[in-house]
Amino acid sequence: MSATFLAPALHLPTGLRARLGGGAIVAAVPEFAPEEEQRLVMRAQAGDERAFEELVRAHVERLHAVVLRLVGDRHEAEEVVQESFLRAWRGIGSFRGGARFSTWLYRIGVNEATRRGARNATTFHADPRRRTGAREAADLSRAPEPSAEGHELQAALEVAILALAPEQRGPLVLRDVEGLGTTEAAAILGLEEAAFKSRLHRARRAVRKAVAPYLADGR
Amino acid sequence: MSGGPLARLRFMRDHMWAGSRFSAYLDGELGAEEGARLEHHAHQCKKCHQVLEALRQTLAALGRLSSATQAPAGLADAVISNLRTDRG
Repeated sequence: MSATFLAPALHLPTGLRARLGGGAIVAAVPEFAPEEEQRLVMRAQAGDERAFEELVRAHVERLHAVVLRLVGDRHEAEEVVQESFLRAWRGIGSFRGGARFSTWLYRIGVNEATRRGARNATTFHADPRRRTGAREAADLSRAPEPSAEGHELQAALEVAILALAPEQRGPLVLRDVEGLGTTEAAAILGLEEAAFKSRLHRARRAVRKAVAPYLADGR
Repeated sequence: MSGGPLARLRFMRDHMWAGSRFSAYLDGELGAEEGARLEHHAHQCKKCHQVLEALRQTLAALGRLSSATQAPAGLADAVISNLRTDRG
């Protein structure tokens, strides 16, 4: 089932929100200046566990947001986040300061999501259109609730993102949802910029078509 | 659109050319000359104008999704607890 096919049912986004973003707001997230983050990374590399835990608190929410949209399942996303930080801690000694810590961390997260996808074809590499349709239909039917137009568009976007092929989903999530620059996003995905842009443009076209009924003029 | 055969030919040529460049245009990746060409065509072509505007709206809405996503409460604590367990 494609996202377009699902569109008429998208006046019920609460179930989707429950699966993709229904958690409570986490406590205030510390934000570090680059120099402060660099100091934390160096301390962590020297074995300072508390320093690494500060990095966890700073990055856990955004990493979770990225991974959630890549794997499309909250439980799976939490496991990927857990495993990603474990791998990051074990490999912190190999991190080189040439890249941002977040770039390195996201790459670990993306790799972990992909690795699990390869292992578990039902959650990542299966036909994303059929998988998304079944899941979303179930979620939506559980939570009837009237919603504003903005929520309909938001729900349609979430469905459209999940309906993308995995190789297109990553570029769109990192660039357009998370707002990363092309260079950083391409580096996280291990892609040349030209390949990244090509996938991004195809993803945008697919999403734009899928959500057309929810845009201002229904285009 | 109006005009003679040459103008129609130019219109169709620009229409084909513009179709694959909306995304790059909105990312500011087209040069000044190409950007002006696309804008000129979108001004003349209702269909391309609509596609461009739809893509603009889509990207704006995608950018608002991130702030709408919240991690489960306690995830950071759970990660840290897991790390401490792993370290023994």
